[in-house]
Amino acid sequence: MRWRVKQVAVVAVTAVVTVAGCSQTVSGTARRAQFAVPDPNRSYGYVNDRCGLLVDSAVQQAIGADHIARPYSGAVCQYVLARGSGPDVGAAAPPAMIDVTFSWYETGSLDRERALAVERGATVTEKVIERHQAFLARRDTTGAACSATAAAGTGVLSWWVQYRGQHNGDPCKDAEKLLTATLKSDM
Amino acid sequence: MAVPRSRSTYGAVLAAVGALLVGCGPPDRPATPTAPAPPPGGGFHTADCNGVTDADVNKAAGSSLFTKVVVSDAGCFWQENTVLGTFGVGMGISTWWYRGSDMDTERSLEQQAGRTLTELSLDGNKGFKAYDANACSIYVAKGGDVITWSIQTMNPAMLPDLCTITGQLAELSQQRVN
Repeated sequence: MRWRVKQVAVVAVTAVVTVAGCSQTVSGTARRAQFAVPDPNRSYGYVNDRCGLLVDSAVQQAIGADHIARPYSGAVCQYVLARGSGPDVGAAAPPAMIDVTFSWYETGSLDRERALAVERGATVTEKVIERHQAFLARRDTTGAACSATAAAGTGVLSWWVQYRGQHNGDPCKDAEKLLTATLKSDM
Repeated sequence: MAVPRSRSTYGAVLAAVGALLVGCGPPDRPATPTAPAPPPGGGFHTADCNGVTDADVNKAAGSSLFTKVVVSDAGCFWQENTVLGTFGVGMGISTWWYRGSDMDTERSLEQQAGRTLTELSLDGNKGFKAYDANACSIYVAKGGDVITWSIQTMNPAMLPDLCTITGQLAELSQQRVN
């Protein structure tokens, strides 16, 4: 995959020479990932007990939860987190449950993920996160839920966060926080 | 692995080029010859929970022991109702759809977990199941996609044979999304 970076560089130089004459100030960030992801060789697969390069305590901290379990690990990792459980909470008060999944599709694509999110009725917002082309997709099903998905490495990765059974709050913020943490650990 | 130093350089150059290209109108074609989206045609059809309903889960598991608590683009999770506070969270039935993934990666993870593996074929697609006393997962691949059905429980004695449960769900799912 290394050759792709070089090829992009050559194309880039050519493009500067060709179009420099008609430059004007326009934000070009959304175009960037159309050329290449900044980390074409990177794998975000499950390794060393980490999903998306993050240890469980980092996921728990990002969500601000008191308890975390990871019942399923692999290209998809599933977490169940709880807030407000513990001895200092009355036994009658059930903990607030937060569901999180991480997906790493090594040969997946952002376009396919976006098309699927749109088809399933999500509200999609385009973003650039840590130099990666990305989108947020808000779709409430079994709770307020949102995924943050980015083109990265050889494929596409996504963090999804749900406030189980809740219909308020902003899960997109938490999903984006996790995606940022994964992409940052790549820098 | 790419050299970190060079990444920011390319990033800056590309950002500048991106701005210039936008200024001149959108390019007629992408600057790189690589297609951004491999066609999903080779994989599975899309359906929430890979086509399986709560009624299917209740039928396969024998009774209303599970409650659906996750419906995401990655898949679904029905939690075992025996959960108490945070004890037993994660026990239940899950299905995930890997849109561009290698089944062999999951195979080696299941082997490392010490589970027994058996090859299988469902609706013309190849797969395998991995099981022990408290879990049974079924993986089926098509094109670049993989769909899994898993059960994990601390109460196997309360349930039908675990691989029979996931086997039925995987079969129903294949009938609907294959």
